[in-house]
Amino acid sequence: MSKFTKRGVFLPSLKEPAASRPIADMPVPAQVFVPLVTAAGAPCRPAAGIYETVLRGEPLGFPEGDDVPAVFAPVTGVLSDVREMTHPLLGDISCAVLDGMAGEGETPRKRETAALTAEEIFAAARAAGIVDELDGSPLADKLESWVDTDPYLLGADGTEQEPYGSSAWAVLRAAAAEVSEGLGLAARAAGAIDCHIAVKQRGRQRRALAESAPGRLICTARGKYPAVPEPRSAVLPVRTVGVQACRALYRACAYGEPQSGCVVTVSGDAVANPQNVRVPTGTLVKDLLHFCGLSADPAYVILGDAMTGVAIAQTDIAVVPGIACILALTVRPQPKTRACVGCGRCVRACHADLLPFEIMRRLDNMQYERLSGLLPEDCDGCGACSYVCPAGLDVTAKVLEARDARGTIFLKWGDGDDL
Amino acid sequence: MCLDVLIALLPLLLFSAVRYGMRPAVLVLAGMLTAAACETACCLMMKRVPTVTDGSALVTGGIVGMLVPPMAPYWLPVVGAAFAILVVKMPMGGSGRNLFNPAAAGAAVLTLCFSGTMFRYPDPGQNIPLPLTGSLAQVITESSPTAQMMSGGETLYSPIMLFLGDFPGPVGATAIAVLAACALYLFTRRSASPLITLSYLAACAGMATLFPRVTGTGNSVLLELCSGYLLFAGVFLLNDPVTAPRHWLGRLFYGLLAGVLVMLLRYYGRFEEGACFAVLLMNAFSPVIDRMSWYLLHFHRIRKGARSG
Repeated sequence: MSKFTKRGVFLPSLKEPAASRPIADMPVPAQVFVPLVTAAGAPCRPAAGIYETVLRGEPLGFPEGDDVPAVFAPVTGVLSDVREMTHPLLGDISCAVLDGMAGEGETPRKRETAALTAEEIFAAARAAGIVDELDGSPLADKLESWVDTDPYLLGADGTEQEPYGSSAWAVLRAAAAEVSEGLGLAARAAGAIDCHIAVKQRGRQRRALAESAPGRLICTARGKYPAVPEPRSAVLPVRTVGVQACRALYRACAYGEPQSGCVVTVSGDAVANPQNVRVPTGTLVKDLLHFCGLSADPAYVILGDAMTGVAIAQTDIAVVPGIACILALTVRPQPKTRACVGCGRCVRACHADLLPFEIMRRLDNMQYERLSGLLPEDCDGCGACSYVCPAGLDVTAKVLEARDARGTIFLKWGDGDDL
Repeated sequence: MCLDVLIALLPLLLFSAVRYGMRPAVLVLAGMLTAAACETACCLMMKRVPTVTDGSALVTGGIVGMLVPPMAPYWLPVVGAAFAILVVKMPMGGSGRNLFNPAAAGAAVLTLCFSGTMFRYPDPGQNIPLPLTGSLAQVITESSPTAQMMSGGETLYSPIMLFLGDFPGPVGATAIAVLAACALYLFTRRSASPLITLSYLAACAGMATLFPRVTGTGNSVLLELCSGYLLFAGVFLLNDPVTAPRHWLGRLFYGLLAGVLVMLLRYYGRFEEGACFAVLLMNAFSPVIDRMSWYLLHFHRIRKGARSG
């Protein structure tokens, strides 16, 4: 049904000037804080002793009770400490502190990827610790769960429908051939019928992309946010992986290279030089902002893009794959929030065809037992309902609260009160 | 959102002022001021921050003022607006929590209690302008098209007269052309849903075609749609964001049922115009309609969720 009733909201595009600038390489920071966790989130033990030098690409962490390394050094440096930190995406983790220094690891040799089997591709993705930037989940697990399911199309989602982000497009422009190869490998391993690259650009830019990624269907998502990244003629369901994850998969299969960094859009009106930066994993947000320069004191630093990002209170947080955008914004006048009158604009905007105001109302009235019938688990947190709310309420946060609390919210007044 | 409705009410008021003089403006203003004053008083009594600034009370009072006849005494909209705010809106919890459209409730109370005054309309052609103060005894009155249709007599209004609002009726509801423009404005501002208004009008037109009660040469559909405040109710009363359903299918049902109900009330009701009662009745069913239509569309998903979870 949602395919026929075009729902969603129109968003302004604030991608320039970052989108048209080349990707900048972040110089090796003085310190990087590499999270010692696997792509799936399991804790790791450090592979080197304190004050040992680790070359770029060398193992840095082993999962508990396992001899296959899962964390690799993103830069060459000296392991100076292992520190407990709290990360907004990963939770409480221990980080390996590397004092960065100039120097490269050995240059890997290219392997042939045409003959790789699905198992070999999954193994390469696992060994490289590739995280899909679309949802922050391990790429190998994601692809493996799709094997032997109903026929589907695999899309590399470079649509970047949110206002600021342009990192996927920057990667496509810089390395379209590698993304295309990686997508092909992913589709082969996961048993997709066909694969395509979805972008938002049109005209000359799209033609240039089609030339540099020959043989791939390039489709254009258009219209309202959130649009489905699928070809117009698509009959089969579409599953998506990130552009950067595709590239990392290719690098892992062809060169055995671990995912050691990611391309992040740094933008916002407090940033002096909005641009896409290739960042080693574990770089602190404050170092990254310092590299791009701040023209004003930011009131908000947002991890993620304007619609779905989260504001962070302090900036000593490690950048990890899965973060594709960082915004530093100066203060804006906030409209005064009013009570919900149930005008239904959120219902119009919701592309999942939910009743966001009703979910919010039941949550506020503590009618938890009636929440499940409203299917809050269908919400993907796109933020369109909050964007259109004329009362200025954060509807998305409430719906997500209802979604994430599914079974556990049934605690009511008086329940479990043993005092 | 309320500002859009206030803006849309303005041309209707201007049209009425040109036709009847300043008296309609005073009536509408009286309704607005009463509503605003009542809401402020209630908020102060409940020790809340006054919510007059959101404009919903002004809209309520303004609509009540629009629904009284141009020669109504000034206390009529005052009573209607006061009832709307003091009985229907604020006891339910104020802005956004009322179950029924306060303006429709105000008009309903006036219709029930003062039906003689509510349906005594001046002849638009002959009383320019209506006296602002003093006796209205010498004002020439005229029975409205709805009253003529109800009594079974022949209606004397041509389509062009109806379209230009040249017939007796409430303050703000006779200017059909202006109303259509206001509706378009509200649709583009997303303050009103075309789905509700159009389905409502379609149902009314369907009923008027199937069961015409016009004798003689008149066009049944046009007469029914343009007379009374049927169209006004479809644009302003049914589209109240608080009481209307939110889902598109629910809105469709809501409009259709309201249209059928309005026509039934006209055919079998005690009064010549029953749109406000129809709106109130539909308000009562609005949450059910909304929920049921949504469940209807998502039945499979809900069942699947219930089975797996």
